Amino acid sequence: MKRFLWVVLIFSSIVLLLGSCSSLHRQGYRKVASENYQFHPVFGPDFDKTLYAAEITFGKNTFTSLAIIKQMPEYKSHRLVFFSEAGLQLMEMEFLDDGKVNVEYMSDFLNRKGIINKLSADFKLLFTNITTHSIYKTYTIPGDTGKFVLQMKGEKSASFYFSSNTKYPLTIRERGCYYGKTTILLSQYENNGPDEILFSHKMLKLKIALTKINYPEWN
Amino acid sequence: MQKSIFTFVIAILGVFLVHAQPEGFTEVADTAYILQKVNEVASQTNTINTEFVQEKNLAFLYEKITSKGILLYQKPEKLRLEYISPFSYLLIMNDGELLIRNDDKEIKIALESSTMFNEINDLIINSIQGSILNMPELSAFFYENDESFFVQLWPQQEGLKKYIKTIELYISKKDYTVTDFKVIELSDDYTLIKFVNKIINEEIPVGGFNFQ
Repeated sequence: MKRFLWVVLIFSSIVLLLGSCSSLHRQGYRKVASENYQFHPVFGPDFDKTLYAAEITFGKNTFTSLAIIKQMPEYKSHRLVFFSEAGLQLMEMEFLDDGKVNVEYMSDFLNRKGIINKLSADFKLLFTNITTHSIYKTYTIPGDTGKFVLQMKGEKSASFYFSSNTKYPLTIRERGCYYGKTTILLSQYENNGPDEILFSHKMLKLKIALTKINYPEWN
Repeated sequence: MQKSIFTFVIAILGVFLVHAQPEGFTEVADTAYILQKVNEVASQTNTINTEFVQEKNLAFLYEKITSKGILLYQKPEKLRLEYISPFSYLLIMNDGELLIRNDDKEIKIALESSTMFNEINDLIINSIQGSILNMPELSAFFYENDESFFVQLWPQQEGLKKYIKTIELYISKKDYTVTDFKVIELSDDYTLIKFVNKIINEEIPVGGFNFQ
C-alpha cells in the first residue's frame, strides 16, 4: 500500500513538471540559449525607494495600508515595510541579494507561520537577482516576437519571468499547480520600479495590489 | 555578590533610561493641577476642527514620510480623519461604526467586533481631547518647559503593549490642548502628529460624520 502511494506521488510530480513546461510549449515558446536574453531586475541598481498604496484582499475581507520598498546597497538587500495610513507598523522584512529573508517585525495579528512564509515567498520573487548564473532555461517564441521567458533556479521551486517587448518582467509565475501558487503582474515601469504590482494565488483567496503613490519629496 | 551588584546597577540604569527626562524639560511636581486643567478644557470642548501633519519615521529611512489632512471631532465619539496628501484616505467613526474609504472602495466595521480597532479608537479620541491622561491602561510621567507640558505615557495593558512602546503628548500651556501626539512603536519607529490651525467649539459642517 505504502509503495503504491509513493508511485502515485512520483507519477503526479512528473505530470505536474511536464505540465508546466508543456504549457510554455503550447504557447509557442521554444528553449534557446540564454546569452541574448536578459531582464532588468524589477527593482534595478538605480532604484532607491518607492511608496505604494497597498490593498490586501483575503477571502471576503479587504484591508488597505501603505508599503515602502527601499534598496539598501550597504546591506545588499531590499527592505519592505507595511504600515497603516495612521502610521502603525504592520510588518517589516529584509530580502537579501543572496536569497535569504529576515523578518524584522511582524504585527501580532499577522504573526502566523503560514502568513509569514507566504509573504516572504511572494515578495522574494520581486527581489530575485537576475544574473546569467541564476537563469536555468530561456524560452522564446520563434519569429522575433520579442517575447521571452526566463526560468530561474530555485531552492524549492522554479519561477518563470515573462516579458513582451520590454526589458522588464511583466509577469512572474511560480511553477507547478500546488496550493497557493503565485502569479505577479507588473506594469508601467518607471525609473523607480513598476507603478502597479498585483499578486494573486491559485486556490488561495489572497490578492495583494500595490499602486505607486506619487510622493514629490522622493521624486 | 558581584553579580548582584551588577544586576542592581543595570536595574537602576534601566529606570533612568526608560523614564529619561527629555532635554529642556523638568519634571512636574504638581501633576494633579495639569490633570484638572486638561479635564476642565476637555469637558468644555464639544467640537474640534483641525488640520494635521503626520510624520512617519522609520529607522532605515533618512527622510520622514509626511502626510497631511483634516481632523473633525464631535463629542462624545464622532471622528473624521481625512488624509489629503500624498494619498487620499478617509476614516469616519460614528455611532459605534467605523467607515474607511480609500479611493473608490469602502469598508464598514462594527467597532464592537474588533478589539484592536476599539482600543485604537479610544486612544485617538482620548488623545485629541487630552482625556488620554485619565486612561488607567497608561501610566503617565509629566515634564514641562516654559511653553508646554510633555507627557510620556507607558501602556500597562497587554493588548496595547503588543503594538506600542510609549505615547508622548505635548500640551500647550496657553490653552491646555494637545498640540503634538507621538506614538513610539516597539521597534522605536514612530509616528508624530502635529495639530495646526485648531478651531475649538465651532459647528462642524453638516454631513461631516456621514457615511455617504
